[in-house]
Amino acid sequence: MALDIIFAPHVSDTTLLALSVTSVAFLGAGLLLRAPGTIWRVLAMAGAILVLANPAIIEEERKPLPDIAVIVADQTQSQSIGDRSSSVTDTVMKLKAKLAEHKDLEVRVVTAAENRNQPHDGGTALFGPLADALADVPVDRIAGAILVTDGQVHDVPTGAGAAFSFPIHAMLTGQPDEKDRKLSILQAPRFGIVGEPLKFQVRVDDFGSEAAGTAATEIRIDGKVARNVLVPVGRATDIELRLPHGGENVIEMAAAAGPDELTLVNNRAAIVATGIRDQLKVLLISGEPHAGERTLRNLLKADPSVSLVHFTILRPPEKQDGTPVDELSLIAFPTRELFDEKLNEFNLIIFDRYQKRGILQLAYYENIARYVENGGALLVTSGPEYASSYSLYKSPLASVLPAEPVDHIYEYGYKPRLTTTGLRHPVTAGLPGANQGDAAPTWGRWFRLVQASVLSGQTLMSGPESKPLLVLNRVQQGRVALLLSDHAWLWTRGFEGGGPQAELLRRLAHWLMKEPDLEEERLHGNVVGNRLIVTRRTMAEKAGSVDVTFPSGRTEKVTLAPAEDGSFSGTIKAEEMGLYRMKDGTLTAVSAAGPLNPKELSDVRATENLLKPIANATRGGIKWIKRDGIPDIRRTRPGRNAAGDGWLGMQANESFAVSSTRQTPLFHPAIALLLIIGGLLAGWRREGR
Amino acid sequence: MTWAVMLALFDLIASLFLRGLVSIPRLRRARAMQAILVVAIAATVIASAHADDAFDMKASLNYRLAYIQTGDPEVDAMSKAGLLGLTHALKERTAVEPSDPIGVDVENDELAFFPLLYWPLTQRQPQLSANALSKVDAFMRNGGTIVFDTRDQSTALPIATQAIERGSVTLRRLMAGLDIPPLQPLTQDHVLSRTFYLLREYPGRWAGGKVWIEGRQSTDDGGVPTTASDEVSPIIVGGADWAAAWAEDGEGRPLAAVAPGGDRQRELAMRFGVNLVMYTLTGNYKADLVHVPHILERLGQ
Repeated sequence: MALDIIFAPHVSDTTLLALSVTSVAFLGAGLLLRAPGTIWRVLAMAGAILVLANPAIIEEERKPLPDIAVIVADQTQSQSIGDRSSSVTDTVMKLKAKLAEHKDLEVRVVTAAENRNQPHDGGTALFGPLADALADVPVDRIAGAILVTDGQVHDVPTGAGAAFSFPIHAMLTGQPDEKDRKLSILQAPRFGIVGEPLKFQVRVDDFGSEAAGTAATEIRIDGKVARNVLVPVGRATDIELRLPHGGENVIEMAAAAGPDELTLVNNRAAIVATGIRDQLKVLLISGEPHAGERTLRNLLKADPSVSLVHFTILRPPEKQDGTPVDELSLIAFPTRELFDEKLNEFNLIIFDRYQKRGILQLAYYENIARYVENGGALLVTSGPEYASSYSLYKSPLASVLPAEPVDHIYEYGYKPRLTTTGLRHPVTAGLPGANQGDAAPTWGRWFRLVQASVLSGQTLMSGPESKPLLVLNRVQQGRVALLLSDHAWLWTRGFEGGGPQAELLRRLAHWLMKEPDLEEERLHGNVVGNRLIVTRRTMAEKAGSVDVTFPSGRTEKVTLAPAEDGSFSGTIKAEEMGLYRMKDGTLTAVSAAGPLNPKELSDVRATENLLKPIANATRGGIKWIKRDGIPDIRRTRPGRNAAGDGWLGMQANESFAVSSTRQTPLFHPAIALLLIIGGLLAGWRREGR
Repeated sequence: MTWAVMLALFDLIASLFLRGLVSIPRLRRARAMQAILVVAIAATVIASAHADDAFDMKASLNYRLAYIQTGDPEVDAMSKAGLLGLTHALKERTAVEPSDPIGVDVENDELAFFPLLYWPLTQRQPQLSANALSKVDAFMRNGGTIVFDTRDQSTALPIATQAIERGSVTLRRLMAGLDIPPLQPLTQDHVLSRTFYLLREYPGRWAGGKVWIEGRQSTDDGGVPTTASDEVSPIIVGGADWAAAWAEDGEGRPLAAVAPGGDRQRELAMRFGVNLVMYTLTGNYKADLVHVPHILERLGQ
């Protein structure tokens, strides 16, 4: 029970003040001049002003409130080292029990873990969760906070944000003098030209020991050891690497264990560098100008990564007439230069409706066959000439061609179909307009198919009577594709709605040039937010499960389910930062999660340095769990020291809640009326005399 | 096809009707009838499919020069004879070996097969239907080229541009509503002037006139590459009556006299025809070829 007198004016404070000042001034003047009746007017004015000021008595019913104590448990990734995690759990439990001994304390426990959905690399954040836990608590009810952590806290407030009205204590896991080795990648290009040297900068630090010696560092690309480097400790070191292929290259660097290690997790780092091919050089040889030549040529020219060298036989040697050379716009076909000297510079060679015309020497065909065997790429788009006696199949090139013509040509309308293999193969799977299950293809028809019997390789598309239309094959190091119709251009010209000639050609070309994205057997991981998506593409009917090894070393199985595009995929929670390794028996893959050098793992040694300033400023204390044990809890008065040998203080705020209030006006209006009217009447009467 | 559907309908009704009757001999008769019907339907479908595809196959299996049928028998005969003459020249001189020319009914035939359509203009040509217009539009957007020949250069000599003006009355009437790009005179720098022969003039039956072609002729205008990214002009307009100059009879003798005349004019007309075909088949191939020595030189460095 408490009593209080308050003013609850009926007008604003300024109005009240102005009225009072004016009244005092005039009344004072009246008194000075000894004007008769002034004393009555004073009474009247005082009454009026008191009414306006409205004094009242407040009576309150009060109830004491318990103070709030908060324990923040740091369960971020750096706390998974050694026995830190169990130490945290244990300490929190004991602290809770100690705090519970005080009946006027309410205990709240918050656990801080990484939030990988956050866009930035925040490291360990404890003050954020603390603020969240106290968001609904008035400041004068907080008794204090105890952070159970390794001391590597990255959101310690400074300046005005550090003005806490309650003590902040820390209970530290780990040892005061820990040592750890760490590898950080200082410079990492995200893109690089395939095969060109690419510069990375790394640094190995031995925290807690003198910088000396070197650290053996293993560098892996896509899981395969690429180089071993000795990196001097404590100095930024340049490392040159060459990206082996286009698309994603996962580069891992792992420093060998240091003299004393807390954890090996931060000895590893991984980056994904996208390999870009320097201008793909494509040689296109058109055997004659034909209706489909421009579509093929334009599709290749529209690809900015392709530099196209195109030759068309405009006039075969046997048709030379007497036209003077200066009236002709014809040039000689530089066969020796193309097929002898510079052949190996091309990434892809396309023969488009080419027939033997006595232009290419046999040796050149042999060169091309050898070029394929040594890792080259060859695409043959053939027309009826493939079944003729001038067929490329009748040249030494036959040794690398996957199908033999059988001297029969189908000439009627048919819709090309994806074969069972084609439905799965990355070159053709999911082509718009393709047949799906029982549904027929919706793309336009073609009218010709050169019948051929497949010698080796995979048939992705078929024509009339399920005869092969598109055949892919691997020949030693190289790849070959054979299209047994010259009618793909009908798709581009929009006949019967057309079809995806452009997409088919693009994928074909990239498969031929060994783009990893288009490999038939592929295991790939991709971290999106805090989930790892595992994708397995295979030509097999089904895909088994994949073992995922987490950065911390634990493993989990992911079962894969068929996806729409013929591949299989599965998802798993991936909240740890670092490298995820996937393995399914035959294939392996690596994927990196989190930032390049996560703050969380930059220094994992337990420390009191980061929390000391704020503990001192709030009169809190710092204890090492292993050394000091679990302290006692005492209630302390605000502004006094809140920590000592063996104890931590929780501020006693003596807050209370008001359960009821009663307000009684002091100045009854009737009295005021009497005062005003009485005063005025008396005044007038006195003045009237 | 209509028959097939009607038969199918009949089959349906019959089967419904027959299913109500249980007597075995009748059921057998019904089975037999159904079998006959199935065969009949299949035959009709196959026959109609073949009938529908005849033009498509003729046009797509072999490369053919194509002209638009105007409905005027004299003009159409000259177009056919002209393209036949050009076909012979191509076979004799180049790697392009077309089959016999084909007349195209712009209202009913599929245009997508032809890189090049020769279209002589006559004042009596009937207005195009909306369907035909949209086909012509799609044809030009997908990389096809139409050569409009107003054939009236002689009537307007010596001021050739006026002839274009006059011929374009018909052209405008026919093509109203289509997106025709701005045209400019064909010059020696244009790739069409060097796709096979080097040309400085483009005579037909008449000499000295201008040929109009789409203005855009840059190789790097930064535009979005389309399937027709080689910027082959969708439209070429002239009034030289080329078909008449190319035309020959069965024995290879010319059908029409050329003016002012001479074998050279006829030869140049033929060369223009060859270049035209090469242009529509190879696009800007010849324009690019100037870069090839440079690219080859850089290879292997």
